[in-house]
Amino acid sequence: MLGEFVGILLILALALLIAAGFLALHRVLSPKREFAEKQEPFECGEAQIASPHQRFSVKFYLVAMLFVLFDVEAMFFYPWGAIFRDLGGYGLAVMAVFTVPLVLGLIYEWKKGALEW
Amino acid sequence: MNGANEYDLLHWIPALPLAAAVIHGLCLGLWRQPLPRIATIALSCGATGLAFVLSFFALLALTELPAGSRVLQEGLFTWIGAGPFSAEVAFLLDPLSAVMILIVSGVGFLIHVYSIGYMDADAREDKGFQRFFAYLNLFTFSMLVLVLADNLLLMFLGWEGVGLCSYLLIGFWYSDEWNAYCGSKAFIVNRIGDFGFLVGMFLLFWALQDVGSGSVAFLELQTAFPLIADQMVQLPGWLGGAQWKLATLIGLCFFLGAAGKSAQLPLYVWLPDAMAGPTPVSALIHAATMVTAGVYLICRMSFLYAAAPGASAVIAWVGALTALFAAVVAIAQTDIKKVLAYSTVSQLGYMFLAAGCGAYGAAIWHLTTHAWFKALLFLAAGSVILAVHHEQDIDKMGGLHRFLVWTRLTFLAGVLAIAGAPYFSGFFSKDEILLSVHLADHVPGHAALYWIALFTAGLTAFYMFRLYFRIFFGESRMTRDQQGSIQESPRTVTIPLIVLAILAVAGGVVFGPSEAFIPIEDANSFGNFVAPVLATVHHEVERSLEWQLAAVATLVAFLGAALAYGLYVVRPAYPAKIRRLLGGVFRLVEGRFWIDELYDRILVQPLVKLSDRVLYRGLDARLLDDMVIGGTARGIRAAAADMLKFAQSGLVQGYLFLMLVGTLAIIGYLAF
Amino acid sequence: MIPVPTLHIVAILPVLLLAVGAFAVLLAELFLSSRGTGKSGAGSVFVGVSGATLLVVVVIAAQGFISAGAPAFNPDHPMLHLDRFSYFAIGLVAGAALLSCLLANGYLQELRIHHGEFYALLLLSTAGMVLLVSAVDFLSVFLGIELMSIPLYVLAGFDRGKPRSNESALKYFIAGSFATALLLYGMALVYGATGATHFAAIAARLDPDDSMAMAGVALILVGFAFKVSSVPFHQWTPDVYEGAPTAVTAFMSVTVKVAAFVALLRILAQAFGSAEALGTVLALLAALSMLIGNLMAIIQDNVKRMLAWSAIAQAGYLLVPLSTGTPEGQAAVLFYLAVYVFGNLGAFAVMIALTHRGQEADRFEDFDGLAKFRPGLAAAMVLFMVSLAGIPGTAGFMGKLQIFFAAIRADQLPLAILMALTSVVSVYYYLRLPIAMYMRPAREHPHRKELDFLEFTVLATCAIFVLVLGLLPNTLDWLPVIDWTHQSAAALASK
Repeated sequence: MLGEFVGILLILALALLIAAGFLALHRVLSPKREFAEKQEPFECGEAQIASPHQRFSVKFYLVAMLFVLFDVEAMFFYPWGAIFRDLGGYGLAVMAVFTVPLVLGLIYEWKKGALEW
Repeated sequence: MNGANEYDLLHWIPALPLAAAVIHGLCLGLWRQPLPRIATIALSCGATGLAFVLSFFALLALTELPAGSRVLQEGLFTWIGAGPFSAEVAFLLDPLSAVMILIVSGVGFLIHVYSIGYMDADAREDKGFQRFFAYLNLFTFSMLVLVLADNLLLMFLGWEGVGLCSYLLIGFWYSDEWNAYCGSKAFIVNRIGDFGFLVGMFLLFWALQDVGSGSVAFLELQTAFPLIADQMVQLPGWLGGAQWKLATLIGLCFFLGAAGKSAQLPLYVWLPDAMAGPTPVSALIHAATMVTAGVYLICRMSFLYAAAPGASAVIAWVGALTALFAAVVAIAQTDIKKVLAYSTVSQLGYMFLAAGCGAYGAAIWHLTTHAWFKALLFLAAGSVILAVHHEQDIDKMGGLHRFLVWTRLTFLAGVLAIAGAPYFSGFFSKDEILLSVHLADHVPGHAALYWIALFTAGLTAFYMFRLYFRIFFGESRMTRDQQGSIQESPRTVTIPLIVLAILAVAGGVVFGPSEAFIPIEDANSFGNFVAPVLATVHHEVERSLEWQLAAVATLVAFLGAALAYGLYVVRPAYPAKIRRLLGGVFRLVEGRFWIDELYDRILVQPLVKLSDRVLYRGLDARLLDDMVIGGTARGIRAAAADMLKFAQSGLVQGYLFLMLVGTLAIIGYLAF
Repeated sequence: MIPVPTLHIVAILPVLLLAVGAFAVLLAELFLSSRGTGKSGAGSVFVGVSGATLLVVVVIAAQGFISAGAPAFNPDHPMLHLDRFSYFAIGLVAGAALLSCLLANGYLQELRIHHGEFYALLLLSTAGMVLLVSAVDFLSVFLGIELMSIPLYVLAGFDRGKPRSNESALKYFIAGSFATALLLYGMALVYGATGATHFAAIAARLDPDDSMAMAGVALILVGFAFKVSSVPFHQWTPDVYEGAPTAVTAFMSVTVKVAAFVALLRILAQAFGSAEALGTVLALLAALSMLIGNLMAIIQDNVKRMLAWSAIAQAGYLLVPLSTGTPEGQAAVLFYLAVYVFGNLGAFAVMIALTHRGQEADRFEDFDGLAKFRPGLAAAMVLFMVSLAGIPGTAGFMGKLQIFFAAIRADQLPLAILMALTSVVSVYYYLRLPIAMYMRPAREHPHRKELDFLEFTVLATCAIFVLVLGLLPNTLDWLPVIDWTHQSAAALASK
């Protein structure tokens, strides 16, 4: 069983070896001259005016998550829409089971004020 | 119930104390209003007293049956009925349990009455007078279930129940850290023994199940046991892998249980500490009834021990050594209750010695007389303690005979009984034990056992008379103020003392003297009564031998008493000199051979340290913190300090690391 | 025309009901709380709806158990299987959830976190457990385990204002996801080796000498060992138990254990029957859990942490009969689970009843001298502790007896002895509460709150069951619990 994977394992090892080798070569061969400007994020451009590590409102995350949720919902509607006639009443019922909780969720987040900025 | 006689009053005997306890509990728990003092007394004493009356009627019903088939039964309901393992809630009255219920309810009733006076202060100051009686009733119930149970499992229910009540009662005066500690210690040490009980029960059950008659009911066990009596078992490799007789193995398991409950070496340590409880509790639970449950168990299973000479020899030797050890320790104690506690351990050793030599009747007989005189001694000691305002140190007493007339007389009766003065109750039972040990040539080293027992008898007389003289004679070692306030205890205290004293003095002659000493027609009635239940090893006894042994024992006891008289009354300065002379040896005895400290050092402390230092601090915190966080994650911690805001301790990594190790180990085992 | 699968509504009725109940509670929360009217009115609606739902599920389970019908969801390709075994577990889980629900009302109000979401999450988690205990396919196992766990992660952090609660939720979530990932990986490996996710098919094709398959089996075992908090997958337990609101701890400490153990029982019996080496691993886990759980519980200074380590030790006891694989062992597991539900829930119920004005009673000092002020409550706590310690006359003893019995029967004498010895150790810490309550002087007592009716009901129910299971486990004609466990175990064998 495991024998089949030996090739993959070899390739993996080879890849690691090559990557590590090049990194090591770089370390050994490259000259090192360090000065203040070289430590800047943008070595040869504008001086930095603000930290990129800013905090921003948690609401972005909330909206992003809600978006993903309903986006996935839409994704499920496509295949269902394509064969919805063939599935008939059964398909409708199953889709309702899928959709109704999501609609309820929408109502919930709406009423709770999750969509207000 | 197969063929045996039904007796449907039986369940009332334990039910009455239970009902009283439940009523007390409901009053305290739901109504939250203690009953008036008089109602508490009427309820508790009434229930126990009625139980005694019922026990007496049950005894009468039992004696009406022909001597060979004296068995009464009552089944209530099926407790566990599924699968191969089944147990009934059913009661069994045969001569053995009849004796026990009479002791439990009779002595129990007297101690209930005594407690009215003894716990009076608690009644007046509302410190749980009713709670005390509730526990006392609950104990009586459990103990009656223990002795009346018709099977091992129900017996185990009572067995644990008495342990729990003992725990509650030792810690009764609760505002005391030490009492709580003592209660826990008693409970935990007992649990070690209980484990032996359980394993023994299961081994016995499965062995019988394999031959087609698995059961835990005593009567069925007794019938089916010959089927496996000679079976051998191969011990598992980690126990040495030798061939053992199954009966011996099971017998040793049960003896472990008995040794825990009855405070034998090496599990005796809890009993002296149990004296922290109120004195009536010491008298009832730690002298007369609960601690004798182990002896009762061995006698109940005598059919098994008759087929297990190895286990019997172990019992005999452990009993004898315990008797000697505890008697030696008792010599050097100064706490009045501690002396009595070690004396109890010593007397229990006698009973086991008798049982181990196959003289089960003698063991039960000594159990009975011991219940009388030891309850008496404890109650009288309680009366002294009450009179001197809860002082227990005999070095601070002395000269009390002027004040406490009844207490002193009854105490003397108890001392004479335990020392084996001729024709007192203890004389008959102790001589029977000495006789049976002398004759028990099937036990290895029975001659040595006899000498140990005889020597212990002398020690017993010595330390008991020492106690008696130190309390009641000599110069008073109290301040004048204290002396002025001493007065005899109330009548509820003295009347039980007098009743018990009468039993301790005359009980032996009335109930079961040996024919050798009182040549009447129904001599030894006690022995003949219980004999059919027990698998006693019989010997031909010459009357002259009996006389010789009794004479020797009496002489030894007299010497012990005389020595005590000489040292503590005639020459009171000598004991201190002897103490100085003996030096280290004396301190060793006084410190009880430092066994408690030894257990603490080698058992308790390592366990706590293992949990605390190794498992908790080591494995939980330091190891993971240093190894995992320190090794692999320290760099990350520096770089991404705000990541660690989430996981405050940073230990989650450690948890996951351990999980990973465990997972790899399991995969490694299962897959490769 | 696409073939339409046949549906057995009966088979998914409990799950459906629970989901509908959860949504109903959520909607009630929306429309009742926003009006700003008194929270107590809304509270009774929440408790009423969720309690009624759970009660109906209990009744369905009882009915299903009695009629012993075994409908499967989609007989052609069964995902769920409702036999007596699952009905027993569903009844137990829903019953425990019902009791937790009744407990929560007063507690959440005392902590001022009384939101309807609590009940909705509780119902959803229960739905996951119902799925889990009736699953006969690894797909539905996974669905059940996730539906059970995710609401629990949220519930653990339900007291949002408290850092400890947040920490508890996060730790539970991280460790839980890790375990779930391992579980899923295990399922994938087993699928890779056998080409099946259905238990019966796996049982037919599983080769105990195939490393890949056995690695999968090991990983699945690890996933479940995490859920039941067995050593060495236990370390989240004390932190999570301590940090989570007590009502949540009460709920999850009992229900998760029941659901995970029952599912594990079924998987071992119906899918991994041929992997005999599993018995050794389970025995080892049992031994470790009993040892470490009991030893660590001794040194705790917080009652909830003590109960958490005790839960680990109890998991060890439960693993003992599980490792035997005999019908007696399986019945013993089921019986002990019932015992554990009532004993443990009762202990937490006492703690909940003592919670007052946002102040939890979770240190040993909080119990000092309680017997003087609240004798009934103290007596109930003693009963539960004594049962957990396994003293005769209580459910705990009867449960341990069954385990002991099954273990000795299956020649697991060393495990049985270890169990007996470690339970001796356990007495030490279980008695600490009774000592505090009865033998220490009472301090200034803030707990003046009287029991409310719901709390009294829960406490009384637990106490009665502890006594009945201990004294009459098979005596009452209408409550022959031991018979039930044996019938359930028999259903497991018949598939």
